[in-house]
Amino acid sequence: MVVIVYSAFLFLVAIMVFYLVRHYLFSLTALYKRKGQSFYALHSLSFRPTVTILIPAKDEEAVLGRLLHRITQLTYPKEQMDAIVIDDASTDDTGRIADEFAEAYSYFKVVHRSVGVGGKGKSSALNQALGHAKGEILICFDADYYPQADIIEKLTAYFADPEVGAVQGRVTVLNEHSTWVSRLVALERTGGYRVDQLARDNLGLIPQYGGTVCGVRRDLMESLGGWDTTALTEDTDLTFRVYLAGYKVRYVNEAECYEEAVETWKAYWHQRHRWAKGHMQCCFKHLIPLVKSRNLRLREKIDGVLLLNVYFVPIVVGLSWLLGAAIFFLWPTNWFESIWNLLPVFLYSSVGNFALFFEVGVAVYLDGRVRLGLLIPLLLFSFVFNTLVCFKALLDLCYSKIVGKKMHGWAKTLHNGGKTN
Amino acid sequence: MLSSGQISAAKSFASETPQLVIRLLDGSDLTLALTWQRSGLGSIAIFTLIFLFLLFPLEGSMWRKIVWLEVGFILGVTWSFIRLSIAVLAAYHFGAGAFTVAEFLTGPFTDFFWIVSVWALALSAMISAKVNR
Repeated sequence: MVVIVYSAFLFLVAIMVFYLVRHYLFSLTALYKRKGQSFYALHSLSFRPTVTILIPAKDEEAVLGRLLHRITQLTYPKEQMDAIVIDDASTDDTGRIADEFAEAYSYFKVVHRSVGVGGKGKSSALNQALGHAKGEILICFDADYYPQADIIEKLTAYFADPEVGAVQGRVTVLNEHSTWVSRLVALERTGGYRVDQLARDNLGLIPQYGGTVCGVRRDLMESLGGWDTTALTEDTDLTFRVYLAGYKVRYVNEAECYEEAVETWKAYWHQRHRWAKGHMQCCFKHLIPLVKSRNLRLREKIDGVLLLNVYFVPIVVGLSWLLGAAIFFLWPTNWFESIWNLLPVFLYSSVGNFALFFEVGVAVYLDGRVRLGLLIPLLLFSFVFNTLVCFKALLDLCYSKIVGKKMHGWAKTLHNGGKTN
Repeated sequence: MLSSGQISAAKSFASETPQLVIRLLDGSDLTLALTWQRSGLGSIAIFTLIFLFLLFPLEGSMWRKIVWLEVGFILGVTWSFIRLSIAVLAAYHFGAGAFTVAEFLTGPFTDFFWIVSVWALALSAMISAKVNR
């Protein structure tokens, strides 16, 4: 019994050490391997593909107008782009706001989905828009986002490389100062994009397509059969489908877009729960095809496996805490106490949603954010939260598998357009 | 801390490691070996590693980094003393079992909180200097 518990504990610690090293390498890469945006500089003037912007929206009257107005200000040639708003069975003024823009600007289109047809989730809405899209490149924005004026140039420049199937821009929190939760989300976002995504792009690994502030080739989407309507996180799902199809995803750090982050722990819980569940779902779906695929290099496969399992890490951490506590009280030895002393390092720095404390630290250093850096110790709270979220997500996923419950539908975050909750 | 808790303590010279003997409220003696794991050296070693690998490589004044490292050392030693005192007080008032529980609860979890806090403060100071430059 003792041997089994000790072995299990050491196995879990080994997994955490693996992730720890991985993210330390990412941090060093972000610090010392600073690639510029050569594609943007070289191709932005000559490479101008036609673009269709997709905006799936359900009950987004508080924020949609802001995004649509911003789209009218984009510097990309309007004759080369159009924008499709998918009003997915909204019960508020979302459809009316979209119609007003469609009347005022010829490059806006609105697809209204009735209650019977729509309301089946973002993937379903995007699939309907795919049938109307004319652009070579599809760019997706969630309704609460606010892009840079030249974001399309920056994102599309990478498609000059025929191997690139999708691109992802950087997400920055717009309402950072609203609450402590939004501050913590801002920290996580900073670390996740400025270091994690950028390092994976620089190292030739797998940057993640994030489902918003991103672009994908229309012909690739059509050949893949559109977005998977059964996937809870269609973005992660698409990342791996793109790679399995022989294409790559690139991350464009300079293509920034602001988002409205969650402001309460309850909203944080719901958002992360969906992400965790969807990510785990993707892991079950793509893990074996990824390992077997001939379209990926070894380093991409290794990173892909680690990426697919990233939401299991908080569970590993939680289990190692339980095992560590059991060993500490039941079978204490001096050598174990040494490991126990080290465990929190692995625990704190290996956990969850790209919220590794040193990765975040390096990111705020690179961004020059003094005050944000002071909040890093508070990531401990989101760590504890994420551990619980991931445990619950795994249990729910297993339950859904056992009873055959379908999981698609809108699991959206409520946005208030900057008004305090 | 010990005298304020009116705990009688003694050192056993027959042991290879320093011993702390606490006479509990029920009159029995609790003997603790002051191993290096209990000394706080582990936390300070982790702190030093984090500094070496995650702060020293950053641009900035070496003196500033060394000052922050010293601040961390002082805080680490102070916290180790407070932590051990809390565990001893718990043992004195609630018995031998309470020592282990208190040591567990005040151990790595809070250790790491000060480690990350000092690191974050030092990092912010480095960022501030970089921005000002």
